[in-house]
Amino acid sequence: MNQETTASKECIVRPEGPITAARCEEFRQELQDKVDEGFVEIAVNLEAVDFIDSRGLSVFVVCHKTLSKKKKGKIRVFNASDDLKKLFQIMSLDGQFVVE
Amino acid sequence: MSIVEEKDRLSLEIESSLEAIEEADRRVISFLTARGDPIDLFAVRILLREAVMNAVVHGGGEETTGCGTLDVRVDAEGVTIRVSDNGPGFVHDRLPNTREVLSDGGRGIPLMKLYSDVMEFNDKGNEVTLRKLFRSDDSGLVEDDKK
Repeated sequence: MNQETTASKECIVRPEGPITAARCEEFRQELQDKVDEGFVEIAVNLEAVDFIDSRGLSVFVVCHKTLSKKKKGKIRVFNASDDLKKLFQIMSLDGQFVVE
Repeated sequence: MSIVEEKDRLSLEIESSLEAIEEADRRVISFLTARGDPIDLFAVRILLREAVMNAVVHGGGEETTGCGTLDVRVDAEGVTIRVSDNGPGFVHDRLPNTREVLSDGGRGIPLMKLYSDVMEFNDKGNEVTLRKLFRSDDSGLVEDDKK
């Protein structure tokens, strides 16, 4: 998993492969580490992610809630495939955080 | 793992591990891709993964042996996925009609409902049958759910 920092309080996380029940723990921990490091805006680059299941979606939601409640921050998703954009949309998550 | 593969059918035993979901996904998508049917593979992946995950989580207990079965059949109109598990089942006819958008979990059954054309449980609630029709527009979503 690759990460890069773009601004003082924003970072980019770039997970690879599916974000699923069997594969999401590393991603969840990576997001938690960024929150613990003080980042209030986390951008997730999904260009290398082909699939997300319900457990994976929960990782995004939990991180979003942590950022918004404790630090008034936000999560942003970008470079999502059409299938993944549709997935966020159908679960109404595109109304909670930015999906690009 | 017990596997039966025929021209229009793939059946396999589900083991009690999260890796079983990945294995089921690989085998079913390989099976369907080789056939070349006009099916929304992303939708099929949603259906089989969520159904198998429920079997793994609720049907296996602490056992490490098989917790259920996955059966995929293809006909002239689409794909039918049936997943049964060895668990006690659940009261499927009392599922809430609305869902909390930012809940920590509970998206598995809503996803199956939204990405399938038909979703049915047996009376006990430990077997789900999901039907995905071939689509010319390949949208992957039921029209009513796009709103």
